[in-house]
Amino acid sequence: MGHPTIYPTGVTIYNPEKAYNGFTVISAPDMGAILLNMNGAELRLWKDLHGFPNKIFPGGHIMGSTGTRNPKHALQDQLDVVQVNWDGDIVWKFDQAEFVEDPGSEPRWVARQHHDFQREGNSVGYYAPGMEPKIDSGNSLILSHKNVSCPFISDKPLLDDVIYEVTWDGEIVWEWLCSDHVEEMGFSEAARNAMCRDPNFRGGSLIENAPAVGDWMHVNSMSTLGPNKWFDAGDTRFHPDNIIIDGRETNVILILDKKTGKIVWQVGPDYDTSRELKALGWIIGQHHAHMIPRGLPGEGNILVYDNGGWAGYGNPNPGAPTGVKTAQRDYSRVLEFDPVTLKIVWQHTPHEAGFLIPLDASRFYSPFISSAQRLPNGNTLITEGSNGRLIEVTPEHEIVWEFINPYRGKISLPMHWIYRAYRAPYEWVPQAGKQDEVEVKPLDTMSFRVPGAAPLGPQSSVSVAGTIGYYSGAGHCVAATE
Amino acid sequence: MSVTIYTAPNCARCTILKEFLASRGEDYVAYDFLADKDIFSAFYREHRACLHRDEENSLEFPIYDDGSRVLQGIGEILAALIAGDGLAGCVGTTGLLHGWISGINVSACPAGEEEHLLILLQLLTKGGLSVHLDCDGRRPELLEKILGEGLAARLTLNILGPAEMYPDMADGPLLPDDMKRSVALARATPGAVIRFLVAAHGPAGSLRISPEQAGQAARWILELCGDRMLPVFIEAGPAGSLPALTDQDLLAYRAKVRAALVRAEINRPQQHR
Repeated sequence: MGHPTIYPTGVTIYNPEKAYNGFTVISAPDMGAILLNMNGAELRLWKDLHGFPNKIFPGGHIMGSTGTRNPKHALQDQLDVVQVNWDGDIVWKFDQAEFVEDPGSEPRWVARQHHDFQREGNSVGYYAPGMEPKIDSGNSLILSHKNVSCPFISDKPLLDDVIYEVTWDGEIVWEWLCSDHVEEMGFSEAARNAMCRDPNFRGGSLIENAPAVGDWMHVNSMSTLGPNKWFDAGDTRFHPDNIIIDGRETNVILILDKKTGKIVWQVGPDYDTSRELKALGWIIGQHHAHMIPRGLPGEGNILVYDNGGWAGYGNPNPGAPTGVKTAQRDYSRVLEFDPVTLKIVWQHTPHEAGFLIPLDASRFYSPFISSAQRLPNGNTLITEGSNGRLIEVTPEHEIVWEFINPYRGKISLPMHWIYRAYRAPYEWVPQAGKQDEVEVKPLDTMSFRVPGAAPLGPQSSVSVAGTIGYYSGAGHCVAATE
Repeated sequence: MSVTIYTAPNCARCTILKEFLASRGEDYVAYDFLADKDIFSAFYREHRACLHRDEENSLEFPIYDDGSRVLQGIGEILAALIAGDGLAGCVGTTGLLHGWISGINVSACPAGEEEHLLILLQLLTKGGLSVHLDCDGRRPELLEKILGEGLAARLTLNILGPAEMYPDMADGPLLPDDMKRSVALARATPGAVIRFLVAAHGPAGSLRISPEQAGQAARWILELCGDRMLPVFIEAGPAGSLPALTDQDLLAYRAKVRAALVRAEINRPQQHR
């Protein structure tokens, strides 16, 4: 789909009455972490603080990392996970996962963190009533990489996902390795065949002489379940300490038992094996699958940004001739579903956004990154990551806040991308002071013109004899599915 | 005293024993456990308590019976026939099938038994077996000789704990120079593994190093070899009378070892079929 070359950036819609007013943190490409107010004022830039993701914690603390390993030697490995205060001082750091000797760099400890982390006190890393992440103590869960060999998956060297629980002092006290549990994930023979040949093998595809690794699962979110009604009712699969992750490449979302390490709940890799899964529909290349924390509307449900795009292993098809990235869809969905019945409770798809599926569906579409955060007033903050659009939508799908990222990557990805944005309550950043909340009404895009452009409307008109007007719902080249 | 041996078809270890007995001119009767299953079954019923099975739940052959004792496994049998009880402390139950043999700890070889151990290793190697040799830092001169003669196809250097705990854990002192030399030999041997083996020791099987003691040993190894990048593993050994260690338990050991030897990693068995 074509996008306009010229368009407004920053905050383009803001309804203070309906939005959950607070601060928003984004990772601006090649810049650092930026704290925004509701009108888009950039209140603070933590310069060059990487965010995979950046998260705001109480006291004006921000989480991130000081940088990444050179991509010639590693794929998406963050050097560390750091907690930084308002003044930019690092008050906590974890990097002692592996000691590496990358050519051209001093030998050093690195975290190899990627995509997510959590701090004790809060299950998901965003605001929920009575669930503040600790800022001066507590353990952290860190999602990291580890190089492994696992012939069950492939004969290729693999880039595996590992979860560490680390103490405030940085000692690893618990570890879970994803490939250990591949046999529990239920991959079909066709999927295993394709995965064996190409476990998302990215040798040399990123940068010249990059290491050859099979990023077979590509876990991109990791959080604990926290207290929830399912466990309270006796369903031990949902123990508060259990961890939910999702694998972009496999279309799997799973919950692992913290004590045994075993997978106790799962959707994917296939979504055609039961009536419930068929109703849920294919979740493809998803991001940020998590359980909505207690105290927020929808608590206990799974919230996920179902990207679409391309992912999964299986039988070859015309769109995936080698059986890799077999599921494809060119629009996104944000799903909130019941983890027991798998019924969709709420969703925001192109349909709810007002775009015809499939004709206009790609107007709500990010084939990678992205996220969804449930807010205390029931709204949902959605990061449509690839084009850097943030929207806050009400349960009725009204956009009450929209922000378009003005910053385009110049060094890394040449896009306006935002990996994952978070909204935090004002009281979490007292240093920023009181903020004005000025309504931003949506422009009338029909009449809005840039300087020099002609105004809306024909300068003259004439009736044509014999014309009969238009039908609604007229046939088009492609059938609409709804 | 008549000797009976029980063998399996196409068994290289059994061939080694037959040739050894023949070389000493000893008479024996051999029964194949399949071809002579009734005879073997009777023997098995009588002696099952003293026979062990390997990790694939198979009986290890050959089995040797001279009327006064029953020995099982080519390593133990040859050790007993060559050295009486002299090698009992360094040749244990021999595991690893499919052409390999393990359970031989060169560091536990008593003084005066070196030639016997070399003869044993020569017989095994000449018979077509690949020897996976263990050592614990002691007897590096003997290790060097064995490696020099090509009598070990694979080597594991087990670090049991800090040097001062060796007398209680390994029935013998460990000298710094010996460990230093052993580490150097392991590093020079292709495929050799250096690991912190966290196992129970002592008469009651209740002496096991703590994570802090593993860290202390690691600092000592670092002092000796001067290379913090030394690749080392951490592995749980037999637990004796203590609770078995899980992978999660080993994380504390890894953390302490990594403080000195930064590449330390937990060595786990293969997780998949």
